[in-house]
Amino acid sequence: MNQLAHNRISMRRYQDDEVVDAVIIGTGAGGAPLLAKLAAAGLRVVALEAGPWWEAPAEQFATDETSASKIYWTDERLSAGDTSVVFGGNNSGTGVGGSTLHWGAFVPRADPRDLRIHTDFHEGADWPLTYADLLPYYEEVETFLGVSGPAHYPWDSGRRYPTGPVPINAPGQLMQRGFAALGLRTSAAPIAALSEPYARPEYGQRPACVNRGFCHQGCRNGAKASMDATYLPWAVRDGAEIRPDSFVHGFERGSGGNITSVLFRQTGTAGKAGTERRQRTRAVFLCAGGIETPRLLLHTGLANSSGQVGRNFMAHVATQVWGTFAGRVGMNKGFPATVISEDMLRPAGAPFTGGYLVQSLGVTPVTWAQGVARGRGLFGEELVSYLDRYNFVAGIGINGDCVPVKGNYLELSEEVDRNGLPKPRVHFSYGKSELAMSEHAVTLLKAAWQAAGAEDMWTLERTAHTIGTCRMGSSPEASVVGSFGQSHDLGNLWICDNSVFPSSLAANPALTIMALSLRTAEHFLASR
Amino acid sequence: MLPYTLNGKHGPLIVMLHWLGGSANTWTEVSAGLVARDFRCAALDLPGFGRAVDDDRFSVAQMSTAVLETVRGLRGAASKEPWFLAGHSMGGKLAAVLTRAAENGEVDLQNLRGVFLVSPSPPGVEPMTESKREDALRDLGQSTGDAEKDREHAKAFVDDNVGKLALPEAIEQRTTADVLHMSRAALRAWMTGGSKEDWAERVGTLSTPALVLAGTEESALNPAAQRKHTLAHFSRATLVPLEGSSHLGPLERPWELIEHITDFVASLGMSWPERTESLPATTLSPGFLRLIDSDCTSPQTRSLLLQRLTPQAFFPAIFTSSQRHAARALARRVVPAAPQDLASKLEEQLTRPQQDGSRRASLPADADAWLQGLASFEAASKRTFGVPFAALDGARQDELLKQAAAGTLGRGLLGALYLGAGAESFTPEQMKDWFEDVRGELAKLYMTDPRTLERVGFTGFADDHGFTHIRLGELEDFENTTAQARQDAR
Ligand SMILES: Cc1cc2nc3c(=O)[nH]c(=O)nc-3n(C[C@H](O)[C@H](O)[C@H](O)COP(=O)(O)OP(=O)(O)OC[C@H]3O[C@@H](n4cnc5c(N)ncnc54)[C@H](O)[C@@H]3O)c2cc1C
Ligand code: SF4
Repeated sequence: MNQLAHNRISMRRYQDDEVVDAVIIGTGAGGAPLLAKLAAAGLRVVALEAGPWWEAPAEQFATDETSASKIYWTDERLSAGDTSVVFGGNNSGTGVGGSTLHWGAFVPRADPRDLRIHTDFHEGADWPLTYADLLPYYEEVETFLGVSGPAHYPWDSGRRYPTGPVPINAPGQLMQRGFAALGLRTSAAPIAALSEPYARPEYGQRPACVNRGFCHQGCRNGAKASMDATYLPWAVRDGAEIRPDSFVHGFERGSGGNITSVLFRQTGTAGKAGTERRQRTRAVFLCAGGIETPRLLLHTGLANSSGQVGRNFMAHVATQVWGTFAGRVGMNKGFPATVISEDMLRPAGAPFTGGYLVQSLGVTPVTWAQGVARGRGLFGEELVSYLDRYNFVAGIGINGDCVPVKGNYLELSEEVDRNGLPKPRVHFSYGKSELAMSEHAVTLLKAAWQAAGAEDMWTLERTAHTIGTCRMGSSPEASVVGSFGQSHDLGNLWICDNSVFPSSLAANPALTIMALSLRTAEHFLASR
Repeated sequence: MLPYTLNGKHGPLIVMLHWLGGSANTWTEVSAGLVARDFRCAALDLPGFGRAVDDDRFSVAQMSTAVLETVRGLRGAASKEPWFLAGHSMGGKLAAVLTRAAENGEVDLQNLRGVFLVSPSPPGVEPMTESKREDALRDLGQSTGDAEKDREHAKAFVDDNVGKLALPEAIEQRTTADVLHMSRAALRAWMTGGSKEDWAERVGTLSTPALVLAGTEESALNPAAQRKHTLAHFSRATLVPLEGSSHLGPLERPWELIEHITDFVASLGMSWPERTESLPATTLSPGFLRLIDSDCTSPQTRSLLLQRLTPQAFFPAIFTSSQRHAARALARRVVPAAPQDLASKLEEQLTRPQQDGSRRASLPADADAWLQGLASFEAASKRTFGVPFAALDGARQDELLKQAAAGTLGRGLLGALYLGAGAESFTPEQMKDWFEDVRGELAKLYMTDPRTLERVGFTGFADDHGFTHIRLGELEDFENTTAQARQDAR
């Protein structure tokens, strides 16, 4: 049992017909910090979470990739377009803790320039806030989570991380070697997993990372800062109620148009029909992620006077290059990504918008085998003998900015899933910028890998994260929410998750989502 | 005793009798597949063929007696072990005669559980046109004295007995060599004697379960003829037409034979440790098992890994038997080294309500996609080679897979005009997408198996104490031990 499960024993409970101060839908990176902040401020808050509650990660999360599918969102999503996005384990989690149960905890901050991408490139959209607006929240999140990182971050001299870096593993060493040969800078990456034991009054003691490398399958000891090890125990301690297995499918509204209650179905134990329930509330925070948030809004027809719900879907360009090395690598050991480079955030003369981060990659065998079979296109003896090389391969990959465009969007399909809602269909195709970026990256990564001693290199084209389907902005005609996440249409609806991003940023999203979550909480509390 | 080739160490014995012109070699491919599924296969050289080329016991009675002696030698006198008998063409007639002896209580043949007959020559007089008999006697009854001519005749004899799909070159050459090697007297004896001997009354009606396979391209011994001439003698027979095949089933369709025989034996309620092709080790090495058992591996991880080694009861629910054969053939080409039957794993997975949460909008739901994808391969195979996908040899199957991967296989622009096979196929783009899914799924199932992990040398599941040696070239203490054990085992 972890601290959160322990706190659950004395968790405060609210009646369905009691009008609570806020209902938070989803307990991932967007929902959890909010839940904690509001509870700590003494508000009566209920979180509704579609997924189950894993109380004992040490016993429930095996070191096994297929069994980890229980923490993936596996209700089917349809992928259309030329660059079809892979959902499920690739980018979507579920459960108390959301996608942070299996996230990679790679936590670079947004580059200040990425927030004004339109100003600089005349493409995409500027954020209605600046880096200075985010900075205090970044620092608060990093300190709270105990983010590990280098003493001096090469691309931001003022930055300090609360704990030292996690040990650099074999793929990280190879990236250092390759980048050094090309005259490029690298650094130990900022990682939301502990390099030493860390304690906070809000959640107690967490142990250091033990380098198992199966972080995407759920961290067993709480070293990784998933929400169930950090913000959620705090939230429950301070009076929040979390209801797992509670799928929200609708809202009731009052005469003024505001939401008065949230409709959800609590699924029983396997085989039992769910119970329909309704929680009355003063405010709603929709934090269901970049796909479920717009799906729910399109399904209920709310908050969409701008017509922007579901629009501008983005996914990071996450191209990888793989190679085989003469000596043993053993990429499964250590934190999956330990080294970063931000040198490519604005490469000179590059024919694309924004830039990309580079990270070293250690990938577990099943995920890697799928990538090989799908992406490298191997089958037969070639497949089998290449898979035999597992201990000798390492990867290097990017996370790159993606331009929001009209043709990339989410809509409801005609097929209905087990929740009774239409399955979402996501249209996504790389544009000129993404294609050029991927190509640029492949050249660079191959050069780096070659310098590091790689042979038999190949490229895996992939995308990561689900971003931008309810963008924030100042104009109610062109955006769904304002800069604090408040709906332009409904005064008591707030959105706080990956869907509010106006542009994708090069940085991995979760740290910024958490920072926005704290900012939204503070604004909400201040304006009450 | 007749010379024989015995393969396999475990499981029920199958005694195999070849055709006129063949030898123990005729069963090479079929034996290999059945051995991988835990049968033992003894392929005999009948008098006048293969290593028994100098044996001149040519009559049906003499040959049957020779086989009986060999079976006794193979099984041991009065053995009660269950066994099976397979007969191809001429060998089929002998098999029927021996089955009669077994049913009559011949002590050395007891516990014969079933017979597999491929294009059998029936117990009665073989329905063969006189002209065909004369052609064979003329071309093969004696040597022309010209080695080149002899070879041509032998090759023509083989080719004439092959259906829509030519034999792979290596098999054709081997089979031609067998024909050339046979005793000419043996051929004359069969054409003028053995095939004309009427054993119909003596064989009578047999109750031993029989699987009868016959090529649809054959003239005299096609499925309809078999129903009339052979099935009359077997009260419990299953007749399976081999679409597009002619007379040389074991050579034309080894994979299908293996599938049908395995299914047939399973349908008799017989269970034996079945495994699929080509993985030498069914179990893990002691060193690897020790690692799974050690306190380096968490209990829940251990139980998952061990569970995957135990075959799970599974009730096939999605595929028909011919779809299953195609799925198995496909799985075998994609992951040739799989330590288990990935196609049934996959079928089981398709019955679950939740899949992986992701689907290309261009494809139907996963189970439907499989049905349509398999149908597309089937249609393409019939269009290109005239036979089902599962009937193709590996190289030809790969040809189709490569086309699928390249986006050139599937219903063309004019596809809608196909009235027969292929109208329901995927478009080439869909096929490409689906085949990518197929590769990913099969690779996943393969990599999940602990036997694969051992083969690859992956020990990352043993992480309960965490890792400390994570830099290039570094090994944990237990990894050193395991790596050493692997070295020693080699
Ligand atoms: C494998 C993987 C690796 C990743 N690695 C990194 C990384 O290294 N760095 C990084 O920054 N980011 C990473 N991410 C992304 C990061 O986890 C997400 O961006 C982040 O968690 C998104 O937060 P969110 O609040 O938008 O949604 P989520 O965290 O996904 O939370 C949404 C929650 O809402 C629940 N929900 C959905 N619909 C409903 C409904 N109708 N009713 C009730 N509940 C509902 C879901 O069950 C889920 O728990 C990774 C993600 C994955 C999957
Ligand atoms: S490597 Fe570290 S963070 Fe990842 S699962 Fe293990 S202990 Fe947790």
